[in-house]
Amino acid sequence: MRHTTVTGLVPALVLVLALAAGAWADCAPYISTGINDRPGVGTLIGSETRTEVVEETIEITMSGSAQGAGGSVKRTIRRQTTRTYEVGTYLMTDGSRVRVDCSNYTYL
Amino acid sequence: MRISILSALLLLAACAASDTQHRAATADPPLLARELVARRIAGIVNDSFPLATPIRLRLLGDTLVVADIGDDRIVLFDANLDLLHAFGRSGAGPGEFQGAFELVSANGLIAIGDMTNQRISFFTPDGQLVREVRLDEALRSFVVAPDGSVYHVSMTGYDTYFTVIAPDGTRRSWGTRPPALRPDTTDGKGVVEQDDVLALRTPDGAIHVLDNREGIVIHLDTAGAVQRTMRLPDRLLEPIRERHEQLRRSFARQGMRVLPGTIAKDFSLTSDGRLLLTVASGDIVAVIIDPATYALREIRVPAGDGPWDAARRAVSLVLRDDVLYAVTTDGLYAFALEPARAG
Repeated sequence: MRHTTVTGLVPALVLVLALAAGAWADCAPYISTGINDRPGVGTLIGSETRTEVVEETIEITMSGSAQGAGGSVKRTIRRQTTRTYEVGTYLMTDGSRVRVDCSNYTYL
Repeated sequence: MRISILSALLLLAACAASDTQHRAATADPPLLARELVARRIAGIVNDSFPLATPIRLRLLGDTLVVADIGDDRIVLFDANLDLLHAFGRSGAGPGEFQGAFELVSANGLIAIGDMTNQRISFFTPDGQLVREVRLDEALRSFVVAPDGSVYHVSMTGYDTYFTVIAPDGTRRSWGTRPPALRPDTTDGKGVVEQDDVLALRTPDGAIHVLDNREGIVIHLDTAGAVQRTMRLPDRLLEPIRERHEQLRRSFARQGMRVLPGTIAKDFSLTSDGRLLLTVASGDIVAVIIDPATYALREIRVPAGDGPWDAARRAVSLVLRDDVLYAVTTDGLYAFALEPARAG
């Protein structure tokens, strides 16, 4: 009987899926600074798609037992994934412009 | 990261090696934009501001031309801010816009850089389409040569700034990018973002590039070689960087990642051919740069609140003789300039 567990892989998959989900998030039409900050509201005036390479280090632990013998093996895998996201350009009320990665919004 | 640190060290070394070239010289006393001489403002009652989201203001002779990215229109005013006419509409067809962002006064024509349609369209001042130039990449700053060639800041240029698109459609790279200002290209980075590099062409044919991340102005001669570089003074840069850092922290608390900020809101030519940077650095709203010497002259507003606050909030400024025109998200303003008194 051989048992094998793979740890680390699932979080990595979750990460990749999360990145994929965020990839095509539309940029919000407006952004605003928090209530404790100097006032500022930005209006979306354009967006562009960006691609960047994300390097991940994944640790895999394999453990098993067979006929009384057991042990575990750790392996580290480095892999590159491509992350795609939108960059929104916002015109602020003070006339400046701010560029925001639109994949990681937290709507208030 | 390592390349980024190395680039910064190289830049510092380059600045130290040729300090006289990089140090900004302030020649004349500042000018003050205090007196409001005309305005058109948005309002519920008596709305005299026919623009949704103005983004660029330029001079075409005595005429003020505004690119309105909100309504995809180009609106022209006379020097008294009286509306002359407007043209353009949203769409992808000839003469239509989807993001009228860049505006260049080019050999008597109005050249409009379109973000989504990724093209530059040339119009007569009365709005007749003359020609269109396809970019095949995202819109960046551009200048137009007398022969009609478009010098478009390349998104991916490493050792050159521009892609030159000749009238016959041929393309070539042009304009030396100093080694210390070459982008970090690791991990897919190194893209020139919008506003990172702004460019102007002066009447003598020289092209002036603003590295808007570092605050360095570069004079390229007609062959594309670097003739002079000048780093804007820290006292000008620091308030701008502090403001951007405030915004970065504000948005980070909401889970947003803000990309590196830029220094100038806009880079335009004055009516007499000098360079004008639109900035928001304390009470400094603009800097005039002599293209021959790179000497600086600041344009300030008085401290405190007043009509001059519009110049602080300006999206774009132009200078015609002694009148500073400012367009904000809610109005168009004209200020008479006067020498600022010492102290």
